[in-house]
Amino acid sequence: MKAIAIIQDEHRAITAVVEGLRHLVAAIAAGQAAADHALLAALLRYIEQFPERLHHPKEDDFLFARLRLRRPEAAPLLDALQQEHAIGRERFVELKAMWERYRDDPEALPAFADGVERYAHFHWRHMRREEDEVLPLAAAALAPDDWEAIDAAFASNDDPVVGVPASRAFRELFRHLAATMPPPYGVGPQAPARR
Amino acid sequence: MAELLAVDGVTAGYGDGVVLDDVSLRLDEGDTLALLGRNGMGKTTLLVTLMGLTRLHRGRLSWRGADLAALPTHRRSRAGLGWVPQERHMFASLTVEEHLTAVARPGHWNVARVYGIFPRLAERRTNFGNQLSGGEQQMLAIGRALMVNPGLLLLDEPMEGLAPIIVQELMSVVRDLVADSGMAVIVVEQHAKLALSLTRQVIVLERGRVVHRGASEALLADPATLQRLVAVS
Repeated sequence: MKAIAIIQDEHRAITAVVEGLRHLVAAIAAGQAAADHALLAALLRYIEQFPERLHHPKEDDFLFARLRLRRPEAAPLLDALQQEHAIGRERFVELKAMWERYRDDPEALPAFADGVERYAHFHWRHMRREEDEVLPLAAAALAPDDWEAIDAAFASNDDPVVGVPASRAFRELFRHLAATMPPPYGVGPQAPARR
Repeated sequence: MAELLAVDGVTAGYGDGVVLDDVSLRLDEGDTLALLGRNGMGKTTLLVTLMGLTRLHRGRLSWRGADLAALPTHRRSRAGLGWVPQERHMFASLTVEEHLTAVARPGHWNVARVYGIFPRLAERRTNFGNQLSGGEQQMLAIGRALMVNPGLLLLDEPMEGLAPIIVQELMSVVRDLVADSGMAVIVVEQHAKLALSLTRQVIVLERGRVVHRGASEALLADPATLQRLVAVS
């Protein structure tokens, strides 16, 4: 059941970046920080790629798939969550478009800030549902050989797309974010006030 | 794995007051333990007792088979206990680099290696302790504990008051430390799921007594029991 710890850790990582984005955008909107579009782009790149490339496919293909076999009655819950993975992708595309508009036109900041809040709440609700409903169900319903397969998938570092261990690539991007985000959200340099 | 630390029937506290009541635990070299419980249940007192800063009323503490209770605090540190206190204890009059070199003991960990895991500290090497952000202070507190080249790292609420990105970054570093260096770790943390994901075994304290012990993985997979024991929000 090592996958449970890995899933929760990945949820924390995604949430940390989403929360970092929320706070940074709020600070920009409040005039406490200048817009750093390189940093915003890096935050969005992480949110776009980490769940899509590494996290959701493992949930859909391994955890949810095994759970469907063992607990057919959980299908409506799993269908809903799997659909939210797709909805999340669409919402992210909208959010990224809002940022691009803001990057070109500072007047579009309020719309981007609203979009960030909505995305953060959507993500939080989805993740809580997985942790409160799916993981306890999986812990109770899955057999040792299910966990062996799921654990192996979640522990795997292979990523044929980028050609290097995906977890290492995302780890490096995360370190970059932590080192670049201004305090108190990260340990980067103090953000200059908006000019 | 050889036994690193043994706590046998320890009753301890401050002066005549008793906080820990008949606590026992075992930790092998390279093993990891989460110490959980609600506020005021004795978690920090157990770490402080290991460092020799409480009164030991009863019981035995042994470190690699020798009597730990006979050693004063500074010799416990030299013996291999690296303590990262909750308050971090930064010195306003010392630079980052001085914090690290002041406590250095021979071994794997040196200033360059600490800067390797915390590059931000290298950038801030000439800054004083009171010029650091909370995240930087916690990095320095962990780096300073590593400089004594400990066999056991005692982390007292290392994530308290830090932003989620910093918490995740520090967790990754601690996880790498455990995996790569074989260092044993005891972590006290209010965020129970965090502590459980970092460790192999768990002890839960309630009013100074052990009320649960087992595998961290099992408790992580049992949210009802976890909620009952530590009231996770």
